[in-house]
Amino acid sequence: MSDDNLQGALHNDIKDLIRLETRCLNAADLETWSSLFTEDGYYWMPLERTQTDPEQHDSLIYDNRALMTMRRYNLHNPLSPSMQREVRSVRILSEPDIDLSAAPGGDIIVRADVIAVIHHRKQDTFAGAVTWRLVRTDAGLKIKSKRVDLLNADAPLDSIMMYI
Amino acid sequence: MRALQALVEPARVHRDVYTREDIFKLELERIWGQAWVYVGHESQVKAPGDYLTTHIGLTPVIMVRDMNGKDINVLVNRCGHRGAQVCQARSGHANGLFKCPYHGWTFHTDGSLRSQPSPGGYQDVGFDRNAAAFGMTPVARTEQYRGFVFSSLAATGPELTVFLGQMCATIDNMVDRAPTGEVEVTGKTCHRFRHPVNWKFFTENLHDAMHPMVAHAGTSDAVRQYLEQLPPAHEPLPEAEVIAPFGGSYHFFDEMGFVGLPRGHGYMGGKTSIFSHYQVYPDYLQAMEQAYGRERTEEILSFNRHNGLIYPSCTIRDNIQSVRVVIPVSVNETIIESWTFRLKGAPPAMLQRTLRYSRLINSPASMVGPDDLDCYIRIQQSAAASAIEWIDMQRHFGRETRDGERQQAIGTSDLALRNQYTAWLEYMT
Repeated sequence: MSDDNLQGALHNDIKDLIRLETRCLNAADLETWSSLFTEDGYYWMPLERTQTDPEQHDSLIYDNRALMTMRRYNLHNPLSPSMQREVRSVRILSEPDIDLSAAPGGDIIVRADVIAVIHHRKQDTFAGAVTWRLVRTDAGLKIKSKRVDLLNADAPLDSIMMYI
Repeated sequence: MRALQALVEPARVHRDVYTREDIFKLELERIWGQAWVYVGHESQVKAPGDYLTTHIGLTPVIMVRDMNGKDINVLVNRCGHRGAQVCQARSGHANGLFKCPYHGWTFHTDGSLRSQPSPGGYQDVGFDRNAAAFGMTPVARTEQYRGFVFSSLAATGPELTVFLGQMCATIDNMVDRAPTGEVEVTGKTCHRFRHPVNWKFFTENLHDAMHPMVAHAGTSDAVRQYLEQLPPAHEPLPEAEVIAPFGGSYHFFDEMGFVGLPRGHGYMGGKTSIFSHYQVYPDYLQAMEQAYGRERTEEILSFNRHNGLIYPSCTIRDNIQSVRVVIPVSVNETIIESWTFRLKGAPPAMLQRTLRYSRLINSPASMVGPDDLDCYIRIQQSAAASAIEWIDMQRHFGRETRDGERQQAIGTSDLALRNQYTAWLEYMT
């Protein structure tokens, strides 16, 4: 294949991965969802857009794979009062911007805006900017990190029952 | 309608305390308008002109470092002219003055009026430019205890240290846990968790030791399931250290005990707490022993209170350096703000544990706080609608012991609820 074709195939793979990630969250399938991440991958929802280091400041969510698995076990577990109601959600992403040269080591940076609606006790709308860092592995593309900057991360928020 | 005195009995409380608008208004006046209310920490306003905005009850206030660099003033966030709120940002820097964006009046950082545009209009009309009412009025009283700033909207009442009483020791312990004897707030913002319920459900849950093993069973079950799938010789899991104690047994919480103090204050633990089995990091221990010596370090680290409540406005976990602030919005809306603190001179692992705790327990996206909140909402809804009027608080009633102003009970007693309502009645009637 020519370079252009290779690049086109990679772009398609990236978009497929992002679409699959969104579909998993919409379906509340956290098992498949977390398997899209690398073993050391993480999901980060900061409190401030200017934050650069989740280890130095509070975050709304900063989950490693262990926590992703715990949340999967907790989801819809009737032992948790808040989980006795079904959590339904849907996300709409903008066309992703793909940057193949932004990160060192060949990592791929993808950005998109998201609008997510979560229904639990009531219906809440979230919006924000998403940044994925993807890596090429023997098992194909994986998510090394996903960062979600909510528009209103610093506002009083109701319970957030699902990853955005 | 029932009189206030008829709403609280020794071992039960009437649902109206959570639902009646007129009672909420009286609480603002008689509790939030009288008590010392936590405003912020001095590390949030380090430089002259630095400010932080918050609320005392419904009153918007600004905590600002005076241009003299020394004082911390707490001003009503209101222009002395037409009453517009002057600052909208959560925090910021007033470069020597505050300026109202409506008509341009400006104020010094002590709240006094600095200037008005076209001042001729106020000449010979009886206008007193030195009157406090035309400034950004300072709240009646502001005091600090070891860097923690409290204000009272009431001109008279006990001094702060008298009000805090034995809760001073909780603040002392949090500060003493820093090798340099100083703590500082970690960020410009904090977790802000909207609770669509009356504020008292939050304070009442703090020492309700009958709920964790039930309401948080799903979360501790999730941790257990995760641990079971790990190989037998796995590394200790820092997340399990935080979450697992929330699934502790009735015995575990009974042993911890509860201490009720005057004015509604109280805490769980003392000798043991939810933090008892936290790992002690060797480099932290070393830094502490270098600063304080072995004996004093042991004394500081064995002080083991949980959820120190400074009624009604804040609860401190000195062990994990977290302060949660209660901000009532309406009879059925409250904002709980969680601030995390850094122990100066401690290794980074200590801050990371503080942040981990805050994310896992205090965040609106945690797997603990939303379960508590879900239960409050269930009570709030039934209190507003059900035909049944009374809410029970008689567990281990009459079995508490009294030692001076301290009341003590086993951890799963409802003494904490009864103690808060004793204070509530004292404030309200």
